[in-house]
Amino acid sequence: MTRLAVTRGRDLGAPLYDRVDVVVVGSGAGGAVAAQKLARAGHKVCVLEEGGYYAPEEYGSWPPTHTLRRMWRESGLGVAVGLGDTPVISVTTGRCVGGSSVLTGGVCFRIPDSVLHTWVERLGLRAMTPEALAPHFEAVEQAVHVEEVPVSMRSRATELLVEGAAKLGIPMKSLRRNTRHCYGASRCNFGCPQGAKQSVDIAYLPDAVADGARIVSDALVESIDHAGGQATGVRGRFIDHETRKPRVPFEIRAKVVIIACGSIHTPVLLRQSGLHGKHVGRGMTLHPAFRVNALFDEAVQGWDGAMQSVYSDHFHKDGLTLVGVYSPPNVLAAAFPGVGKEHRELAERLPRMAIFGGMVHDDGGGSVRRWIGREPVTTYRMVERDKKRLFFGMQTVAKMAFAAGARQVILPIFGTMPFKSASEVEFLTSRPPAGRLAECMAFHPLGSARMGASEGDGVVGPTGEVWAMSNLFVCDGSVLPTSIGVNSQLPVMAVADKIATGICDDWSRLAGRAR
Amino acid sequence: MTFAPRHRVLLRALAEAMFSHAASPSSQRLTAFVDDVDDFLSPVSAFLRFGLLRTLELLAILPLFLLGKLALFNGLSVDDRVRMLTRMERSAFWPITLIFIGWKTMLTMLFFEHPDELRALGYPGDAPASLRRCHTRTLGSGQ
Repeated sequence: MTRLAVTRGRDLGAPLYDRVDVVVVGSGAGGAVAAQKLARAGHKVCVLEEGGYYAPEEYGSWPPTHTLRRMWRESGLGVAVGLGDTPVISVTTGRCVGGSSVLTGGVCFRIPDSVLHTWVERLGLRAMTPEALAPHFEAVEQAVHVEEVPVSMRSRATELLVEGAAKLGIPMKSLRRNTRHCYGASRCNFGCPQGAKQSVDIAYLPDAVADGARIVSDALVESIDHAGGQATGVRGRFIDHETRKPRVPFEIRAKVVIIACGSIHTPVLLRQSGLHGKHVGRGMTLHPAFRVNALFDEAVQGWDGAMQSVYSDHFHKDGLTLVGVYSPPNVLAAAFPGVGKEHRELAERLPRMAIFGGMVHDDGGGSVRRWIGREPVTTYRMVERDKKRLFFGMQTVAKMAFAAGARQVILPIFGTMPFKSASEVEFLTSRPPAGRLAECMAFHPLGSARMGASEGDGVVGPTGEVWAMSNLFVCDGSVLPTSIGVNSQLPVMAVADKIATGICDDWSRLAGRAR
Repeated sequence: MTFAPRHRVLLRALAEAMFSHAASPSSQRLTAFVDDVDDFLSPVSAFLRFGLLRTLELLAILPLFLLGKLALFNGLSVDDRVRMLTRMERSAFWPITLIFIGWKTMLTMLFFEHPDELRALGYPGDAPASLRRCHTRTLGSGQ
């Protein structure tokens, strides 16, 4: 692997002024794909990334908490505050060149046809049919090398839970991931230690640079410049390496501005730039996810295999996807109950511990609001239906574990100790606990600048262009108008590919009206 | 540096209780650990840091309410601290639980990342067996 040519904003002592065809704010799954596509089409592209640049050799050698402090926003401690009887949900996003794509498990799904039919039929987004998106999925799948995880990559821990699921009549399928020569280290979401995961810093940005794009890291965009209802560029400041505060200013003028800061920060930037539409920062979905630990008699060494290798869409109609998962031992230990000796005893059983999880295809109960300082306040209200799905999912995974021979199961519910039989977890559906006691996480915030068929229905139109400002596009997960029920990396890339293709096709008109 | 001396004292007391089992972690280890927590929190926003430190200060005065003892958290014996934290974790009043879980999650991730702790948990290191097998095959085939 070669080090990507990135201009490090933190090293720039003088203000930067530039004039380009397209400025892309954000270098994650959406921004990188758009940048590469537009650079390949011959346009002069500048990518601005708030986070730093770290080469795969660097982040691959770091222990997990070093990745957290350098590449995750808020050191991975960001949360969505639960409103009403809703759990506080840990929301993780990347802040680095490559964005969250560097920190995913690599799971790749297409948007289910049933979801796209809803977009077309109920939301009037006629351009978002499975057929219209298929070539874009094919393009990104090829670029990031999507492949099925072989059965040999399943850890013994995963195999056991697959066996348990089979006994309950729940079929499991192999996941597809964007990897090349993966040997399995079960820590994909802390930066691949083998450079095997084809995140966009490996699969897309080098091509963009080869085609003339400039990538600038440590560049905090503070506002979108506009005149006469049309975007004309962006401005902001470079983040100082020592103080971590914005310092030297920059200003980039562009014919087309693309915002790809992700669902948490795209609406913040839009609002900071005077775009206050009723959908900006509203209706965000999270895919609330959970993780269940199961203790077996035998050593199952969950770390010996792919971090994620199997899933089940058996409960797709019930809004639930079950997914095999693992994490580095210190991260797993953090979720074990108990204090002192009690906690230690559980942690020492880690080699005999299998993990399985799931996520809920949720309603859009999230919102993002500007707050004191840089980071916004994210809130989320979980509807009753989704709470039921969440607890049903936990119960199902627990039953799978007991069917596979687990001795104990640790549920992600605060204050509970390990459960010893399937009958003990019946309460999850018969007398569900308070939702706020669930330990939840979210890796796929979506929909905070949703696509709508008309100005009253969303922030951007079907082309990704912001209704309220011409030549301004949003190209990340925030445009997805509903929850999709599957991991969002590939869908974000495919939608970005579609939006960027549209910009290329419409270039003469867009450039012609540029100021 | 993020932490004031009073925060360092509290964190040290918290870590000592959380990670004591056969014996408490050594003083040297605790000092290095508190430094590591400080470094971990240094990139987070001022607002989040402010909130976390306030919850730490709240934890300091909770012995009065949870154990009925007129003492600060760091003034309790290790056994009493463990008892109080266990009550926090299992409290029916969820904000109390959340305060502890927030700190517990972060501190546990950092503490068990130490190579000695990972070995004690039975983790063989970053290279999993599948990778070790692959290397062995590659060496064996002379490539």
